Amino acid sequence: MESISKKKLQQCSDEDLMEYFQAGYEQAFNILVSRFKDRLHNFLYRYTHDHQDCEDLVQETFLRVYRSRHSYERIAKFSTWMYTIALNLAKSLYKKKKRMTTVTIHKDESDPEDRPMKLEDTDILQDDSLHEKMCMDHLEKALNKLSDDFKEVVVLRDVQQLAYDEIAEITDLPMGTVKSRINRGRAQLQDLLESYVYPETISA
Amino acid sequence: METVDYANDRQLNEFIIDFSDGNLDGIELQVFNEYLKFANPVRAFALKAKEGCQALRNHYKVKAADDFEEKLARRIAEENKNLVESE
Repeated sequence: MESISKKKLQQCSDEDLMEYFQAGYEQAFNILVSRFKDRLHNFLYRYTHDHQDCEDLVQETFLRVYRSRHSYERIAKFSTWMYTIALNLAKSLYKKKKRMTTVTIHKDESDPEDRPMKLEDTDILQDDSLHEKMCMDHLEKALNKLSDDFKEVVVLRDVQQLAYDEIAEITDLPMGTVKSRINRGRAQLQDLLESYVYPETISA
Repeated sequence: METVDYANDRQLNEFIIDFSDGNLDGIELQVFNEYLKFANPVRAFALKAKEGCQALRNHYKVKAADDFEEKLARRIAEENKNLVESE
């Protein structure tokens, strides 16, 4: 493979960058990281709802890309391959968290480092930003309530804006199932959002 | 919550997807709107799907921390170092 400048690398497709990386150009990997770090955060945050967990998952995803670079084959789009890794990691974390049913929040008297946690919010939000924050909170809450089957396809489509065929490949589902789940997921999400805004309309 | 299952109607599914994505135009949109006038449950479902889609697309974006790449580089360097030491 011929040598290439950083400027030229930046103009390469994701798949070309992966090939340069496989050929030993670490700079190609760094460019992939800068291209995808925000998109992956955006995707994985919908699973973790926690910035630290999300960052850990994104780091782990890139580490796996780094380690498994030689198993990538150009027949797949790089983003499809990477999102499959990220989705599997998110599912594992979710299962692990589900198993942790008991959480201790009492202070450990024997541990001098264990201090009560302070929860402070010193920001007084203005009306507009308060409204915006409430909408975002509702959306996060609604997303969290969607079943995993719906959530994964809806997030891949409407948050990540991936193509339907790419989503079908990542989730290993037929295209018809992907589209049907996206339709139902979107409608269910809207139902949930309306139930937060107009709780009186929900029957017991 | 009422659940409507249109999974078996492939063509309708495609129309609702395109309607929500804003990919129906001209005659297709006209035909679909005509159809919705006479199919209230589908109309309610399609509108909800479209609104749900728009809510998500307007959703805020989460960004990586400023030191994200630095931390990742440290982890990779550490991993490479361990690999060399173990060889």
